[in-house]
Amino acid sequence: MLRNRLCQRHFRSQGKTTPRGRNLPRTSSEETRSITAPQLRLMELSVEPLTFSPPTGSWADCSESLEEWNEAYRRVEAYFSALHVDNKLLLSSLVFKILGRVSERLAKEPGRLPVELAAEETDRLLVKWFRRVLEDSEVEPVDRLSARGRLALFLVDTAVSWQHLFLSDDPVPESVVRAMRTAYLRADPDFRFVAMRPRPIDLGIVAVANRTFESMGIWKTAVQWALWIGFGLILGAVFYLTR
Amino acid sequence: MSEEEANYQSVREGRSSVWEAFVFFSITLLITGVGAYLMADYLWGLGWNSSSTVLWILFVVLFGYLAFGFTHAFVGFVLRRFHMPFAKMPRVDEVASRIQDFDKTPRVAIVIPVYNEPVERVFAGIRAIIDSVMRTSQGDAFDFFILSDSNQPDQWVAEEAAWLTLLRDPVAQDRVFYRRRPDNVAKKSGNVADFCRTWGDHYRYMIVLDADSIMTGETLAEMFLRMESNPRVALIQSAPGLVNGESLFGRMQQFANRLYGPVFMEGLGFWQQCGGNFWGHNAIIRLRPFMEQCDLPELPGRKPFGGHILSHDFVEAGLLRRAGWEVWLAHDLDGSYEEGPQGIIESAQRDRRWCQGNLQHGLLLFARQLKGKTRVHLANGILGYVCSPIWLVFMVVALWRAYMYGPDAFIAADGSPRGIAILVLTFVLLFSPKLLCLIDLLFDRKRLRGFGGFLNTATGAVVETFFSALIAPVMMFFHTRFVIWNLIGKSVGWSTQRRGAQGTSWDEAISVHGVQTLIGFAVGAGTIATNPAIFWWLSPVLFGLWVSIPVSVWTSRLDIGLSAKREKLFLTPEESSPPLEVVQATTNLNEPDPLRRGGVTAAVLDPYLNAVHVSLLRRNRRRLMSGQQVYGANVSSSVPKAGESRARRQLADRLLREGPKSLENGETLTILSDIDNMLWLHRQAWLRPNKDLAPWWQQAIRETSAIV
Repeated sequence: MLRNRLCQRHFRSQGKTTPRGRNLPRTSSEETRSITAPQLRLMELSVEPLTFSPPTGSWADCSESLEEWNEAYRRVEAYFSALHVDNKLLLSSLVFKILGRVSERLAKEPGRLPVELAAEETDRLLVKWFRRVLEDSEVEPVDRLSARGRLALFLVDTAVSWQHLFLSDDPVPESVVRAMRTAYLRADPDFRFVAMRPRPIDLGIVAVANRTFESMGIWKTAVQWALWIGFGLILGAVFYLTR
Repeated sequence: MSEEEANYQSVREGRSSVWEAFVFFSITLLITGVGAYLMADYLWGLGWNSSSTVLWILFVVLFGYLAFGFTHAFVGFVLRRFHMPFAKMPRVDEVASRIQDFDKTPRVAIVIPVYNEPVERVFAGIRAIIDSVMRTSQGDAFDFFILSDSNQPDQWVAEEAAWLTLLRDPVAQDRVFYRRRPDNVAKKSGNVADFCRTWGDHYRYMIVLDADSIMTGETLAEMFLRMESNPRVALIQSAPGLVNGESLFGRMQQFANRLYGPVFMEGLGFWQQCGGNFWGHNAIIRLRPFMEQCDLPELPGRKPFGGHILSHDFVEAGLLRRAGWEVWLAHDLDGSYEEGPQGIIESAQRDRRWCQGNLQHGLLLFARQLKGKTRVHLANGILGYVCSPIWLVFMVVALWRAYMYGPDAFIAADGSPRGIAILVLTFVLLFSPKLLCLIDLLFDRKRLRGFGGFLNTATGAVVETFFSALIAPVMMFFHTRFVIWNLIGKSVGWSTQRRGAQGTSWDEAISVHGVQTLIGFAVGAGTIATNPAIFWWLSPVLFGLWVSIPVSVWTSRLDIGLSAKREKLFLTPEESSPPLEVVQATTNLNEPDPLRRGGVTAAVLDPYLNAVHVSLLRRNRRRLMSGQQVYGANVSSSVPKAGESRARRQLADRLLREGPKSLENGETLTILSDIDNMLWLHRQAWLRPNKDLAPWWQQAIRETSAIV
């Protein structure tokens, strides 16, 4: 427990510093589009110091919690990578931002696991950001809002550079907001319903035969009778032919 | 009144001409008459008895069907060699070909019904067709609809994921649409009818493709313009060529299709004229008459004959003809392809489905108001399968007669060679069409080069004929079994056709062909013991049965097929210089990332796929609710009731705690179809600590992390 607290304290202390002012390298082809000065300013994001080491010794001293924190790290990283946050630096920054919050919460909720809190924090930040960008007034259930936000992100992905804005407290540019709010998955054209009604087919003699069988109620056994009669005929034929 | 309305009003009886059909069937009848006479004369010479009557009747049916096939080749050969334009194919007129402003012209929907098909191949094919269509000047006229009836959870999710991948290309956006039906009522015809009811009114034409269909943009545009130029035509069927065969069987089939197809199609086009048929795919259809005439009623009676019409295509063409519309075969168009079965067993599986559908047409043969040519198409489809038991009965009766009357049972007392004459005539009808097709090829240098030269083609034809003869008795037994099963009321399941060239295993071959082989040996032993002369007459048939197991295995093997390809045996023009679309459909496969899990795991964990899945579910629910009147379906089932909601949530929880394998297929589908639970599952899967998740989910999340 002592080791755990040490580790928690360490995260908490790291989380307080938020150096600013560096333009991040961008890797994806979409991000090489020309960027205006205001956009550049917006892209300045807080990068937590990314080196962690316990102030009172090495990680080996808190190896049990190390694995728990590693699991929390992996869970958050996996989720953001599933959201296609491809830039490694942005990804790490977001993960540490979450873990910093987790370390604060862990102090208040000592019985809980870092991975639980990390997942909750990720979800909370995500919903909060979607609510802000999509201008939702907390009417829509969280599940649905989350899905709407993810769908909007997916749809604007090729047209808008959003990764540097993702989960940031900074204002989101109007163009991105508009794009996300109006994003619409067009799975099919508008419905234009037309009734189709089967044209009857008069089966002629077949229909008469069928009606007869149905009315006699022997359709069910007609096939069996046909087979037995057929068998009898074959026997008869064999008898006759062998005479 | 709109232009289409005016055209529609002006539709009257098609330009049906009777004399082509008269000439064609006169030739068939003449040949059949000669054969029937010779056979009667021969049997009379042997001494007529009851078995003679049976043999003669069966012979006439079989010989008539053989003559019908021969006439196709003969007429087709004559027409092709003498360039006689008997088939008045609808052509593109100049006005239609000048159409440029496609904003004002009607759009064409290319619909691709899929049912648990290989997703990568289906979408690679669609991608290839889109690219090809966009290279034509009419590209903007086409929309694509993937109409899924898939009922396997993994297939469903994989289709959605593949559709999303396709949508990343701006060319596909607002052009490629995806819809999955929650139930597959009336199977493929119901699937297409569902499209018609919902979006048919947006389009003037619909081009129906199969999951393995490939068509070039040029051909699609040409079919579109032909329809625009010929307002009385409701359907133009292209003649799809077989491609992408890799096993020996697959390559033999496509070789035969490419070599013999053009001549036979010419003959077919000659007699049917505007009374053509629909083969279910690779055809363009005028939507309005289709929607008015072709919502198929259920047939009276019980399955397998009653109920939904399985082979709907023949009937749809017949109903269009009944209403006065023209249906044409565009056998002059290239650029239409499909894939075929890669082994004997796979081919038999497909035949099993078709057999049930075709036999069901027996109920419609005498339906009132159908056109004569429609009845010929229906009868031809039925005879394609019924001829097998007829052939079998013919042989059994002949054997019985030989057993009864001894070694000289089929030798005329006066020693006249009538029997030999019948044999020669039968062989001429069997093999001369292949010879005519070879001769026809000699006059077409471009095609000849595509087949690798005359020597290669002739060698291929001889080897293909040998294998056809080996396989024929095997297929006879299969077809006989299918016909009997259907007659005694055993319904045939519509399983997905296994595509590709994985090959038949020895175990599978023994279980499928074992009985046939035993019958072959038993009959062989019986005839040797009683009448050795008959054994030698029967040996070609018996030999096919004896070797059915190894032939089935070896002909399905990919390596043997590719060896034959290296030796240029069974080479086809599409293999010599493959069309770009065919190449793209097989090489541009977006193989799933082996590190990523698919199915319900992906639909739950992937934030985007989950969001899109839910969005599609909502859209589909809205479609069903708002279109309740036209669907006539009970859509309330898509909204779970209180008790159901609890049960579904329990299922979802079990999915997380015990993993996807703890759920039955139907349960997984229930969860995948439930909007609230899919939303809940996504958040829960990521929020829960490992102890509340099955190892499956923990591993899946770790793998997502590992990919990073």
